[in-house]
Amino acid sequence: MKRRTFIRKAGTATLMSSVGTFPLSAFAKDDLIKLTVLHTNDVHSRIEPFPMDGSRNEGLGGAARRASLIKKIRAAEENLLLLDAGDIFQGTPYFNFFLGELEFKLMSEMKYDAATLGNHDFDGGMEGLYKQLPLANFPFLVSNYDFSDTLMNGKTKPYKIFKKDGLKIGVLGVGIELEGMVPEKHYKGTRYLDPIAAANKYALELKKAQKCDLVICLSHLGYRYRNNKVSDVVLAENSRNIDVIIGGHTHTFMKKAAAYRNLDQAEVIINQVGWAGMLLGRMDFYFERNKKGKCMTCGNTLIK
Amino acid sequence: MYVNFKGKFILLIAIICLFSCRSVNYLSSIEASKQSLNAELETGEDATINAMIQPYKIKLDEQMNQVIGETSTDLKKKRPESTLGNWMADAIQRQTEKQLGKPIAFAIQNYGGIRIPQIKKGKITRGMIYELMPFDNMIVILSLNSAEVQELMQHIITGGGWPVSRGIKVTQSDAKTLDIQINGVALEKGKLYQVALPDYVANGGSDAGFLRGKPQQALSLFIRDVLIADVEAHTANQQVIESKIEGRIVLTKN
Repeated sequence: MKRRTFIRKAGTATLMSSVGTFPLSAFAKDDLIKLTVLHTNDVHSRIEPFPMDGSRNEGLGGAARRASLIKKIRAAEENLLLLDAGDIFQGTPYFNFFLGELEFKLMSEMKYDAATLGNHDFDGGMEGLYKQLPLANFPFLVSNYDFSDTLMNGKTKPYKIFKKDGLKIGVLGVGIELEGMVPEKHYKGTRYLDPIAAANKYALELKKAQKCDLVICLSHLGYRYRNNKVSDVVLAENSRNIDVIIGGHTHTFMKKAAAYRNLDQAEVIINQVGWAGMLLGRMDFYFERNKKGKCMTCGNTLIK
Repeated sequence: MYVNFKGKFILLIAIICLFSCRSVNYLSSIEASKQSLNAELETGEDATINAMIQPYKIKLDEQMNQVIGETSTDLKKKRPESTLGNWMADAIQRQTEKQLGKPIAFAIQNYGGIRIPQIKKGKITRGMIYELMPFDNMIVILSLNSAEVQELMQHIITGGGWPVSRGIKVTQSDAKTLDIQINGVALEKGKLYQVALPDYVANGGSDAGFLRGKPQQALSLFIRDVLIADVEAHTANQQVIESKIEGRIVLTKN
C-alpha cells in the first residue's frame, strides 16, 4: 500500500519521464484528485514590495501581489491549502509600529489555512504574539514548543487535519530551538522538545491512526547546516510518515524542491521559498483514487 | 453447522471488503513550482489588501520617508569586514561614548543583526535604518579581560567576521591564533576592556552563550536609535557618512 518511490537523492531530482507508468491524462477525471498547496516562509513583515532603491531585491514581493495571485489560483483550483512556515513578524517598520497587527489581518484576508511559529514571531515577547492572535483566523501549528506554563498555553496545536474532496491532509509544525536565538525574556517558560521525536510522533498519529493521505510538516528549523544542527534535511532523513516538509528560517532560495530518503527509504520532499514574500511556492499533488489495490499512475513525480 | 459456515463466509467477505473494497487515495505525483511576485505579475495587486494597508502606510510614510542624512559611498554588508558594518560599529562606539562621557575600548555588532544588504550612496531615510536594524536591541557594556576578548574575537572569526569598531584590529595568523590590538596595543593581561555590544549578544544570542551571566552595564539606548542619531549628528555638523575597509579583521587565506 506504500506509494512507490521515484525521486533520487536531492540534487539529482529532476524531470522524471513517465515511461513505463500510466500517464495522468489517461485517467478518468473522477479517479484523480488534485490538491494545490501554496506556501510562504519568512515574510518578515514585508507588507509592501522592497523599496525601489537600487538594491538587489527592489520592487519584489508585497502582500497585495501575493493576494492577487492566490485569488487567481483559488478560482482555478478546487482543493487548495495556503500555509506559512513562520517568521511572519519583524523586518520592516510595520512591525515596529503596529506590532504584527497588519501581518495577521492580511494573512486572514488571504485565508491562510495554517502557519507555524518562527523565532522572530517571539520578537514582541509571548505577550506581543498573544495580543495579536485574535486577528489571525488560522491556527498556529507547532508540536515541539510546550507552552503549558505560559500565557500561550492552548493557543497553538501540534497539528490539524484538513479534508478536501475525500482527501485527508495532516499538517503539523516544528519550531527551532529558541535558546541562544531569542532573548530569554521573550520565551520564558517555554519548554523546547526534540523536533524529530515530536514530528515523528504526530506524523505517525496522522498517517496511521488518522489515516491521512498526505502528511505535511511546516518547519522553521532551517533547510540544512554545515554542522549537525537539526534541520529539515536531518528531520527528513530521520523521519517516518512525513511526505513533505515546507521549511523556513534559513531564507533559502531553492532552485527546485529537494527529495531525501526517510528511515523507511520513502522520499520526503523539502521546499522553501527564500524570504520576504518575494516568491509564492506551489506544490500540486495528484492522488489516484481506486479500488484496485494498485496504483496505476504513480511514478510521475515531477519537481520543477 | 452449515449455518455457522455461511455466517463465517459472510464475515470473511466483509473483512476482505473492509480492506480491498475501500477506495484508496494513492499519492501518484507531485509538481513543485514557484512564482516571482514582481511588477510584471499579470494579476497585479489586490485592491482589498491595498485598502487595508493604506491607513497604516500613511502613518508610517510620514516618518519613514524623512531624509535624515547622506552617505558618500555605498554601505555594503559583507564578511569579514564591510563599509556598512564598519559604520555601524563605529556609530555604536561613538554614541556609547557620548552617553557615557568617556571612551570605551571598542564596539561590536552581530552580523546576523544587519537586516539589509546595503544602503546605496546618497540619501539616507529613517525608514532605511529601521529596515537595517528592525530589532529592539539595546546597547550594553561588558568589562572583559584579555582572555574574554580573545574568546569573543574567536567567536566572531568563527562566524566569518562581524562588524567591529575602529578601536580594534584582529589578524588571524593561523586557524588557532589571533593577533588582537586595541588602539594599536596588544591585549594586556590583567587589564579590563569596556566593550559595547547588543544586549541580544550579551545575553547569549548568536551562539554567544559564553557571555551569558557576565555583569552588564545597560544603556537605555536602542541600537536603531543610536544609528539614526549618528546619521543626524553627521547632518547637523554638515557631514556625510564615510566608510571604508580598513583591515580591522584580516583572515588567513586557508
